[in-house]
Amino acid sequence: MRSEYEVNRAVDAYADTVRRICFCHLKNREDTEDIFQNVFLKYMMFDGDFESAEHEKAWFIRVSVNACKDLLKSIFRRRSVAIDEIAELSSHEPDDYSCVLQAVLSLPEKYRDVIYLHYYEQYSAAEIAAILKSKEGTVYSALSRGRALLKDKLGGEMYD
Amino acid sequence: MTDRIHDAFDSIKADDKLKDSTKQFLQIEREKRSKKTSTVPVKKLVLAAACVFVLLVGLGGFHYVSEKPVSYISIDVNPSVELTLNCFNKVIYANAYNDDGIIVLKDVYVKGMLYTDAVDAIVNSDAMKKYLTDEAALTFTVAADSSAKEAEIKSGIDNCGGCKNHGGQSYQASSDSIDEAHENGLSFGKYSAYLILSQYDKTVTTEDCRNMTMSEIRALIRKYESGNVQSNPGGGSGNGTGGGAEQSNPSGQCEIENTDCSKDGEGNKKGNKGNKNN
Repeated sequence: MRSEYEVNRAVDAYADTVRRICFCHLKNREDTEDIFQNVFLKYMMFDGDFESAEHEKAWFIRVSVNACKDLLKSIFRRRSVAIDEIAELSSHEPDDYSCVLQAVLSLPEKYRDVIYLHYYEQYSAAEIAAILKSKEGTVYSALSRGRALLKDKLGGEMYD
Repeated sequence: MTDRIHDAFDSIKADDKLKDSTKQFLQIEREKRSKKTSTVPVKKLVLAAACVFVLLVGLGGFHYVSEKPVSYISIDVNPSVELTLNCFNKVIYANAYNDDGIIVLKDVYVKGMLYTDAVDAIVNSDAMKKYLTDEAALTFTVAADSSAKEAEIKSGIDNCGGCKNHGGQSYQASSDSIDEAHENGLSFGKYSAYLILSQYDKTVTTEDCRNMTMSEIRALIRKYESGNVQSNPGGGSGNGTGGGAEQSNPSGQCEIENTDCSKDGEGNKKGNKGNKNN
């Protein structure tokens, strides 16, 4: 079991990353809190070593994505509409961000992680494939389709 | 556009309330699990210690039982060899009581064998062959802590090939005489024969018997028993050692007699201890 100091450091370092992944999948704060507890508890109990900070971050991303998917599969999960999340954000953020985030959330779920990991975390398709345990071709395809959908919704040019 | 997506995602942050509630949850979980992990090893430790204890007691008990001498077989021709058996009738020690016995036990390893197999192995060994002449008296003497055990072993010897094929005379002696025999440097089989002989001839000594073959001792006993020779109450000249007529066992069968020699004559307290060879 990892020390309290180590776990608190991880919460401070990766909370935003986990939060963004939760945003891509979940629709309310309670689910997000569940994922936070689940992911960081797994970290606390994980005895393995990480080769680097990047390795550790990739671990958090993979575990968070899987935790979100597992929660969504659960028949007991709380149901709420995505608009609540956006409404919560839009009260604090500029309209443009809300607009972009709404466009991202309107994408099919399978594209959202890829768009986030590529455009925010700056991962290559190969790296995304490794993190999500997916095929590189599948990632390329999701990126391409997600990008096209966003372009339709938001207009303007998109660059890799 | 790429920057817009990046900036939009960047605007999503985990607020302090979420971080704090997560840290608080983890702290509670840590305490719960610490209690669990501190009690589980103790339980496991106690369980493991109990298992080890039971195992050790079991092994110790088995070792005690399997190494505890229960019965004895003395095999005497001229080589004198003694087998000590455990309660499973397996050989735990094989000791030689003269030089010829040492030669035999060097030739055959019987420890751990069932006594019938051990008897066969010894009697049929190359080293023993030269002693099993027509005149030789292959003698088995059995002693055990109960008459039932003695009967069981006697029966086993009587039916094993080593006995049947070579014939001989066998005796049953009390296990009480074993220590006395060993103090006199004799196998208890030869010592039992000495005790019988000494009833007729008080001048005969364990030293005399040590240098006689079993066939020589048995021949003298038969002569006294048949009345062909006057018994010697002591003080006179002895009957010699080895000068008497030898009598082989014409039937070729193992003859098993019951002789309780434990309260009979005393040995002269000299002699060699057995040579443990197995």
